[in-house]
Amino acid sequence: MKKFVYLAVIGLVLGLLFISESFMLMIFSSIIIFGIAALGLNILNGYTGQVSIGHGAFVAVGAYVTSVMSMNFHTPFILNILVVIVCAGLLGFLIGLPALRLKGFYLAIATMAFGVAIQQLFAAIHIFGGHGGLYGIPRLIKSEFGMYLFNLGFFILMYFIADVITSSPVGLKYRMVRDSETASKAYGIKLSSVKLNAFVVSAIYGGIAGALYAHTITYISPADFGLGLSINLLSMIIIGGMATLEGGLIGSVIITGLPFLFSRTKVPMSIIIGALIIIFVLFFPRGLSYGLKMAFLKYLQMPLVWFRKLRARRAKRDGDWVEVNGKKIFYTSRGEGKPIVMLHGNLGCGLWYSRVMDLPGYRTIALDMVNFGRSDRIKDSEMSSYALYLRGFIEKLGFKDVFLVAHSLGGAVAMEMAFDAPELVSRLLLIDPCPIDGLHTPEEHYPFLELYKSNPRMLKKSLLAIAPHIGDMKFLNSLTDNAYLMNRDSFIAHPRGLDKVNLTERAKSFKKPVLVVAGAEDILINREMAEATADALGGSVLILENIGHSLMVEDPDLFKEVLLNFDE
Amino acid sequence: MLVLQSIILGIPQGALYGLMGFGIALIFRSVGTMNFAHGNAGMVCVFVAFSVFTATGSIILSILCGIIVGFLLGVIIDKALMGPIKHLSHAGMLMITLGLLMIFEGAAQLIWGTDYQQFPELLRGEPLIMRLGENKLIMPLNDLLITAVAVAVSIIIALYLKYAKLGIATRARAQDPIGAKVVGIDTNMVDSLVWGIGISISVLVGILIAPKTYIHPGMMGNMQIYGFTAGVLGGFESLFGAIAGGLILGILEKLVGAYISPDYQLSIVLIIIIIMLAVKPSGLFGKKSSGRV
Amino acid sequence: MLQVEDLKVNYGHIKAVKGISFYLKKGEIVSILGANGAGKTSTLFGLGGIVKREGSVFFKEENIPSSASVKSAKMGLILCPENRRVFPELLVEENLRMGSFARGEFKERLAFVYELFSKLKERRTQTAGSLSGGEQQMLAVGRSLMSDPELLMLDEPSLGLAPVIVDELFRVLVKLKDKMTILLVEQNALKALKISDRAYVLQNGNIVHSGTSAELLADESVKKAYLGM
Repeated sequence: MKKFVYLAVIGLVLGLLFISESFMLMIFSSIIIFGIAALGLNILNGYTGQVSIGHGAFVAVGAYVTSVMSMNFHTPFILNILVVIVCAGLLGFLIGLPALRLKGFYLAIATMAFGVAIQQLFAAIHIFGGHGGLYGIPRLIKSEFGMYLFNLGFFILMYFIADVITSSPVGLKYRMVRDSETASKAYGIKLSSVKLNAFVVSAIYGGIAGALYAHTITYISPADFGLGLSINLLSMIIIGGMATLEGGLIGSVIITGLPFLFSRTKVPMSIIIGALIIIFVLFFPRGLSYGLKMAFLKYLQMPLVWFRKLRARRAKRDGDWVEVNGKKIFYTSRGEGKPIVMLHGNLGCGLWYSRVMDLPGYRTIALDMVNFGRSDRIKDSEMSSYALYLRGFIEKLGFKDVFLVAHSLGGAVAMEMAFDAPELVSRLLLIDPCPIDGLHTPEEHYPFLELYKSNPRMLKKSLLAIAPHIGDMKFLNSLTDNAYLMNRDSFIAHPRGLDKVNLTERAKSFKKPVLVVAGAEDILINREMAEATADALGGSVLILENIGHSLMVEDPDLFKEVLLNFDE
Repeated sequence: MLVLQSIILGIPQGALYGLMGFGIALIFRSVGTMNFAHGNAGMVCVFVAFSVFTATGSIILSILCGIIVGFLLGVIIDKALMGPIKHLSHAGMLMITLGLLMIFEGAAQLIWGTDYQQFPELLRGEPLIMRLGENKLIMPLNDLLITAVAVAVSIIIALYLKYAKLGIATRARAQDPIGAKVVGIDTNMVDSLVWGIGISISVLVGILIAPKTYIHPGMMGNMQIYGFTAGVLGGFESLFGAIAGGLILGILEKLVGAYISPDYQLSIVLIIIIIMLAVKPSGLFGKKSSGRV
Repeated sequence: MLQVEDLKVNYGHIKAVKGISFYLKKGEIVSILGANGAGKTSTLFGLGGIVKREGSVFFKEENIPSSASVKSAKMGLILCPENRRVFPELLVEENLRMGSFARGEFKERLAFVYELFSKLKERRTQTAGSLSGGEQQMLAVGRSLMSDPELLMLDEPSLGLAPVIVDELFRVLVKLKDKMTILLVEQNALKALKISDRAYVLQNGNIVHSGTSAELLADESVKKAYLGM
């Protein structure tokens, strides 16, 4: 619902800004009207995958029917529009019938022939004014501003209907037919009825656009609705974005608006439109709509990222620094007794353990590994480098026989270090660790990981997904803040690094007690992975119901219980 | 008698439609692209011919220049644009050629303006007058020439495709691209050649109709539609189907003009095409039920 | 004659051939054996320049770059592809004429091919599409022979043919042996080994066995996996 309010508000504000400039309002009206027609074409072409280069015909039908009715019979617009809907729908049905048997180039020829045939018919029939067209079509509302608002209202209504249709089961069928006719058939979809449906719906959109056009511009001629218009409509959805609701409007802003921008130069519009079509098909097949969305996700939230980083740096955290190989490592320490060193996971920091630091009889130490939180950056993001720094850290603090607790990515670091220097480690508690033979991230997820860098909302959502029972949203927020302190390169480098992990061979020589804990609701590490890791290490497995990927933030008390049990 | 008259008058026109369809079908069959910029690519080169004519006053030279530039344009289209994107879907290629259509139209407007330019008839003189019963039928000499040229060009290209080594290679490439590669046919070169020939034919058609339609950026719009129509009627699967389809179309058009009204010529012809496509997409002379779709 | 080093063929993410090396000496018949999807056809496509490949290929001591189908055909490295790939609407003789497109003296070669396959001569004014499967295969082999190959690469020539015709085809191959080098890809491993000097066994894009035909015929694991014995 939000987007319709936005549309209405933006439209209204634009209208008010230019209320005294009727020429601008007329341009806005045209943009909106062709936006409706392009939206309809997108239902047919973008969603259902049926090429049409004869869509101008439906616009022509709408324009001519309403003009002739209101000029000769003075009928009210509401009646006209009903007749237009019926006529355009019928015509869409008629061209849809032969089109059922055609695909690709042949469908393009058929629709092109249809478009030109209709245009020529209007030019040939006397009552439609022949080649000269019709003049003096009555305006519905005297003022240009009123007419603009009227068109805007219609656009929002049609946009709403398109939204309903495309997100309904019918819309799903459209897309299935587009993606694979064979598969749709297998699902029991009647291809012919779905295609006809799309033809009729999209024809009605064209017809309505035509009717609005006639009453706004007040002059129509067959030349307005020829092949040129059909190609323009197609270029709108190519440029704006196929199979998106907003694509048609965005394309219309460019294709309808551009001529006014270039009106002073001598460059013909068709060169620009043609070049845009080719450029978009070849290089930006998803259109501007996708580009704008990505830009929005990527750049618009950047200030929020800075803000979160700042907040994370300013927040009070008691702790100390240790220097290892010239890099400062930040850690917090609590209590006295047997040392426990706690390692966080990807996007994490020592804060993840803040709820479980109070353990009587133990000295708990949670550090920010290099590249994370308040610790220094290093050049690479390799698990083995992290392990080296971890080893240096433990040696600097003068520990031996450390109880090592590690979460997720930290698990890989902990294993690596424990295999390098088993003498430093007394036992290993691994919370949903990276599997012993690596964690594979599908290639198609990387663009999303890229987005996390600059979109706090998405990052926060993904953290929530790996800690579903965290409960405290404030805590989640501060974890998200701190995630942004991580080296920016590591957002991508960590999953790549985890993909490469393979410690199965080296695990064989490791003989200390190991417990692998995994949440039953973990979306990253499943039971098999946890078992395989435990097997390789000769340890045991504990699967916890109602826990996700991050036990220590989801259920601190259970974490403590598990830890104490394991140490006994 | 009206029928006979329509047939005779329809033939020169139909020969042009056929030639246009022939060029489109040649590219489609060999390379697999339905070229929606076919007419406008020809139109731009007709303008070139026109410029050469205004500069030199020589018809022969201007026609030669136009056709050669057309050939080069075809090669350039293939090498620069269509060749590298052979993997694209049909819808993608369709949109690319539609983009080209717009670019050519705009380029012609930019360079030569939107005015109608005159181009001389190739052959002037006493029209041929035939007697059909009590009617007299007047056939301008230029129309005769058009028919002769169209027939001659079709025959030359037919002979080329049938007997020339490269001609057979062109057909071979269309039938099995991998088979063509293994025998050492340079398929990229053949594709460029086909584009070159195809566009040259479009230029030739443009020059032949120029005396009647005048030269302007929109001169080939309808001609291209007729070309597609001829291809559909005859079936894109056989090259000569397009020629036959064009002739039928020319005659049909005159019959509609004579018996119904010239105003409805184009619409009715186009509606016939749509029905034709739906009923028998392979065309009147096609063998298979559906072709390269 | 042919030296192949680290040949790789990829289709997008799918690795069909994962870096194989092999050689052919002049006058040899060498077979490449393996199950469906082992990468045999991809190997030949890579050598013939039909698909992109990595690795180096030397033919007659000359480097053949990737995708150079025209160059390899001109040099006499001729592929007779799987599924015949004859031109269905061209006449038999036109098909043969296309065979001599890159090299080979048409009339002389035509006489040679007609002598080898007399059926083709009978059918020379028919379209290739109207031939039977066996005749089409002969046409495909004949078309390759038209270009006077120095190295003939045959991809599954026996596929879908009746046993009698397969026997005839293999007899022809033996006859050709003193005129050219032959690289034979076959599913019918036993038949192939019987006429070839050496063989390589492909599995999942790698060479897993190689040796003389006699060695391979004696190898228990090869016998079991590929010869069905």
